[in-house]
Amino acid sequence: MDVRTFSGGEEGLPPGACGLLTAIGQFKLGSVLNAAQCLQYRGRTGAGLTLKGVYPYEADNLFHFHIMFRDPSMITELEGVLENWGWRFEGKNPLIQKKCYNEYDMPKMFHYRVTTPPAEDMLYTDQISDPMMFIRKKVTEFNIKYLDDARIFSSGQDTGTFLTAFQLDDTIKVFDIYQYSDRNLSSVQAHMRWPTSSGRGLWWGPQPIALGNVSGTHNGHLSSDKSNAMALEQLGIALHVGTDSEALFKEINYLVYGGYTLQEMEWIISRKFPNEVALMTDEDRERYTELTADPILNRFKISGPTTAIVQIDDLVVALTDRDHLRPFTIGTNDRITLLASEERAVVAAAFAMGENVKIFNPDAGKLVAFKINNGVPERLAYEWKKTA
Amino acid sequence: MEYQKDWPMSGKKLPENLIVQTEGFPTEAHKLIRRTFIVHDESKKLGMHNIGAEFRVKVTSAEEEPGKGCIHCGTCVIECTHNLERPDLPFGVFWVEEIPVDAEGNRVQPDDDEEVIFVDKILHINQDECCNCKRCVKECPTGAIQVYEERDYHSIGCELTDHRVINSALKRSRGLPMVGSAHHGALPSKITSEWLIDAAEILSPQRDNRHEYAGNMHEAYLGKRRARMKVASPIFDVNQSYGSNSHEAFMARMMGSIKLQRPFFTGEGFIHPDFQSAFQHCIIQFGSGGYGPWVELDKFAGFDIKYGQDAKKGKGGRLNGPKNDLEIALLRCVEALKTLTAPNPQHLQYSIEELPMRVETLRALLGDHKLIGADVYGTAWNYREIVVALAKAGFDYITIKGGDGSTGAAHNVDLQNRGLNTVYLAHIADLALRQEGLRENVSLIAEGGIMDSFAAFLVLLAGADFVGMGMRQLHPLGCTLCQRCHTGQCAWGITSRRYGDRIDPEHGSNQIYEMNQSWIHDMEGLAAGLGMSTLADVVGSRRFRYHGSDPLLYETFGKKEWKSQLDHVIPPTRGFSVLKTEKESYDENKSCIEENLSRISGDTLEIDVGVDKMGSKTLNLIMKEASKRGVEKFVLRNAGGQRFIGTGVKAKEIHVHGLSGNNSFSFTRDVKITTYPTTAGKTRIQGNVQVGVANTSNPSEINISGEVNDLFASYAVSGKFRVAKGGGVRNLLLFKGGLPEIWKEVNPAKYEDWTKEEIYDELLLLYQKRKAKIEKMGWDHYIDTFGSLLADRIPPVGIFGLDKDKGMGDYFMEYAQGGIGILLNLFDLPSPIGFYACSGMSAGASYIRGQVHEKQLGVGVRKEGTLIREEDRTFLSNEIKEFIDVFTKIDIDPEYNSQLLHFANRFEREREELLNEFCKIVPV
Ligand code: SF4
Ligand code: SF4
Ligand code: SF4
Repeated sequence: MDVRTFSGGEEGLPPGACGLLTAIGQFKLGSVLNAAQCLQYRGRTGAGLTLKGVYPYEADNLFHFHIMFRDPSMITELEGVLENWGWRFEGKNPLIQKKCYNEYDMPKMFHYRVTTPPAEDMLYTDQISDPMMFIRKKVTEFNIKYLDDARIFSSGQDTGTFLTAFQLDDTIKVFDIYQYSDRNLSSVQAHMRWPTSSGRGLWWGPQPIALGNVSGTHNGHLSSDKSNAMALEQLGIALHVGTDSEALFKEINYLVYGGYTLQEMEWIISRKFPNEVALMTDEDRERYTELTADPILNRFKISGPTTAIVQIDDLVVALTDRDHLRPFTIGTNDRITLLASEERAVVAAAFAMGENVKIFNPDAGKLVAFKINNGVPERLAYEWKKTA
Repeated sequence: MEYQKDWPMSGKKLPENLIVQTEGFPTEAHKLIRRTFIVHDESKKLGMHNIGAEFRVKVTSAEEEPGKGCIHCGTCVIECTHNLERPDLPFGVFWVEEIPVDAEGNRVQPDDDEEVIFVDKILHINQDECCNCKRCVKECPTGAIQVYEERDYHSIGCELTDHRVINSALKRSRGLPMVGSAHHGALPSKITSEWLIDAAEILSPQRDNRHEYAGNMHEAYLGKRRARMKVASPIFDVNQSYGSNSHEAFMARMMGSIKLQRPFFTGEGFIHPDFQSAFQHCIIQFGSGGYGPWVELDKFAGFDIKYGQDAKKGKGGRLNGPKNDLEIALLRCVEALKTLTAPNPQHLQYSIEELPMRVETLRALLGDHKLIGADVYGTAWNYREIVVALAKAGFDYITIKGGDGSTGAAHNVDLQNRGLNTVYLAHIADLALRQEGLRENVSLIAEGGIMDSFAAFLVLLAGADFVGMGMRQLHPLGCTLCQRCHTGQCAWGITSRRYGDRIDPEHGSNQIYEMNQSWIHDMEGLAAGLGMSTLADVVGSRRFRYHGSDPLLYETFGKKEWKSQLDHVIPPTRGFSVLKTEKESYDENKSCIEENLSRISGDTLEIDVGVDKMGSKTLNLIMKEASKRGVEKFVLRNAGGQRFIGTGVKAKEIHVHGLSGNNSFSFTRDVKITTYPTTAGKTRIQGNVQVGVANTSNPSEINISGEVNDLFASYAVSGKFRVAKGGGVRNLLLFKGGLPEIWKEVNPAKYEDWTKEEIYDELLLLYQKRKAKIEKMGWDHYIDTFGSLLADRIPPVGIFGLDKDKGMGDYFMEYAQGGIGILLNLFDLPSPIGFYACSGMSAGASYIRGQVHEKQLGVGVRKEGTLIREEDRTFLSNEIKEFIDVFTKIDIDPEYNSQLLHFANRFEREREELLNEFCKIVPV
């Protein structure tokens, strides 16, 4: 059976509702992986990991790409496309040991070290000078244009995302994740997926969905998917995977970079009940109304089950939908923070790590954020916003 | 207008404000009829408000048609039950007025026995109320009545905007409810015409089903894995609830299904205990309202979860207040006479990955040999993913409730929002399951708009294993599709309880049997015509062709014959743990299970779960096996969030040290459960519980020494639920009104070996007793007898202490139906509760200590200030005392412990003041 068919062809199964666990701070990779396994019953077809710090940061214009090719005969041609865009491959390695292909039917996957073109070239072709912006734009463009043939599923400077259409233990085995145990990891995002809607194939749906230094996991299926996507479309922000989850991650990224406070982000995405608004202070209500009346931000509201955890550089933002149709638990102490779609995963991870954490279930619709400072997670106040 | 009082046989009471003109009916023998009249009552509304009668009711007089005219016998008055404008009246379209006159023809007082010699009789007809049910037509002894379409109602408008559109707009403008029942689709069904079922010819021979073994449709199994039910009919009845159907209609259908040897699907209104001998033939349905006592579930043939049905897309069922009479409320464990609105979602499953969790919990309860099914409709684009997900989740059968289906009550807009054709849906589901290599794991039932044996056969050819025909089962009971099921006025006694005695259940069941056999015979003929000999030959063979104008159907079934095999079938290489049988799971974990079982000491078993060392199913198997070996008390150490702890386990006490996972303690009965914090290695694990814990349960008490997540004790029927701290959202959702004695007394196990004949006899015997009682007492008095049984129930109580930084989340006690919730607010939080508190609560109450803003209240409830009633204060005092007794004995955490002591001291010293700090939330 060819990979394309296995991937479900045009009508395969994809994006989904699932189990997620994120650990930030100081931890052992093995403990997180073990703890995440207890959520496997929530996932069936797809398991992924994003490891922050898996590659050492080298330079502003050096990125690590993980690319999967549905059709091996297209590899050379598509590499050519990337080079024509001015990218330079500094190195190329197989991501998966050959023998794994004997056991699993998988797309071919490679790891590339890539540098972006000089600023003047990027300005000339795309009116962009920032390498990260360039990567985000071009990776999106590539993934949309060649979606039937290949996908760049990891494109960070120090992060690496690893996906399979199987279960977590398969993902760990296929990519030999334990080889990264000695790396200086500051976060791990794990995701086990159960697809809920039509999409582009099994291999195109697993999470984390990563683009540049942004990676996200989401448990649930948004009824507001079309509305959210339309808002991003009108901002010129394209979706390269095309799922409800990706739209949510991009909204969060947009709001973080737009300088909105955490409180404002929560208002926009996990919109309050009308009676809650009525009980706000006048000042808050005025700002709330101003934000939610904005035609674009109005469409940023999510409806439907959600636990989402998004990592943007050193920032981790997590939230649930206002109706709390998904559970969400956090365990934290001064060394680590564990965020999961179930209390059980937090307890299991803490136990495996020999840590004692304070466990809490954030209230419905609450947004929480942590910043990793020198490897230690710090909870951010509601007033926090990204400053240039 | 004047009416008669105490209408005989109807049992309804007349409203006080009506003037009574004559007494006694029918006319006493000594009164001679002088003259008779037939009068159409004027419509009460004129001009633009006059929507007018939809049907003309024509009664022929003796003059008009000698020998066939009306004899003013009054039968129609009793038979017609339809009156939407005045449902309180004891009659519908007809009523008879008697005018007493003396020998000279002067009008006299009716009670003047001396003077009354003659009566003039006037048959009044209020045809505005007629729904064309034809009951009167069929019951009139002289055949004097004709009912037909009223031209002036139907002939308005133009092609694009016809009478349906205009009259619907008029009804809306008058604020009338836009609810309907049965077929209300806007267009004719695509299932009836322009299909060609193939026949064998020359290439292979036709067979003869009448004289040979051919086309046989009487041998099949519902369920394809461990749980299987042998059935002898490819046609099934569908879910229609007890309560929406009368006792007699339900019983006739149930007996008909048993005779046909097919499962009987109960609908979401649970079932009547008089039918317990037949539980083994019934599949009990769990609708989103979760109505019922939820006891003895393993005695049914299976458990069916209603996720949706096309006829009311995305909506839950609804039983209007009057239909929820005292008996129904008792059976459903809710409060009587309140409209029951089942929530739109199935709250324990918000996402696809929660399906296997639900199934594994049900398996723990029911074992591998009971059927677990899911009812879904054909969504626009995700349908195949849903079907595949259900199969992977471990359901034994999937019922497709497709495109042209009917229902007993739904909004017209939903009924008109007709979904995908059932033939098409059966085809897509079959292909999706085949593609995934799952087809022989799960049975497919397809229903919705199946008109007759032809359509039924089409659906089987398209890939369904069985076909459901619901409405058709009602015709032998009298249904003429008047589309008034939702009103509870059905003149045939099918969807009206009061008139149920118009049906003879035994006779009805025989007719249902005959009708279905006749269809099956047709289908066997069709199969034989194709040269086929068994149902397996037929299912999915797609030996048909569509030659109509529907583009989707033509694209799918009109262009070419389907190939026998799909190109790329994914063999299910990965073993889904939910599909594993108990035995397989037992064998896989044998050493762990047996090692634990070897530690049984007397009636006690202590199990070290080891945080993440033991799987949920393994733990459950250990506990179940131990309980079979006489263990009554379980102590679980180092629990790490294992799911469905205690479900299906018969025990008196369960102590969990650590975290209890999703769905733990669900469906438990008569057990005391306590959770405790614990320390595993360096990790402190709170005695918390996760989502959906204690759902649908009847424990004696559950004490959580920590906090709960969402949906705690949802659908719970009875028991005490104490939580030291607070919780997430939707706690005590659909909290019921207590388990009545009648449900405690049932013992369906007694009937397990009974033959069908013995079961019929038992059913009929109990029915005769019931009927005799009703006839003796009259319907209203009979129903009133359930009042004391309702009052005797002890409602469940959920009491929460709340935490320092976490109160109670939103939607607390949403849709609650009789239970009591209490928030103690130990830490004096300024705002102890979230929003939409008690939204949609129909009965019961919530006592909250602290500030509750009006804006935090949900829909349909109000807040009462200080508790002034002594019984409120006594009740609350007792509950608080018990709460303090339980949790002061457990070391939760230092801060909590000391705050609880502080609260307990206040309770001792300043009790009255403390009680004054509570408010009460009650339904409006
Ligand atoms: S049942 Fe027939 S005969 Fe009797 S009153 Fe009615 S119309 Fe007349
Ligand atoms: S057809 Fe039905 S509703 Fe109409 S008058 Fe007769 S009994 Fe009443
Ligand atoms: S069941 Fe009764 S009310 Fe419903 S359509 Fe049939 S005859 Fe009318």
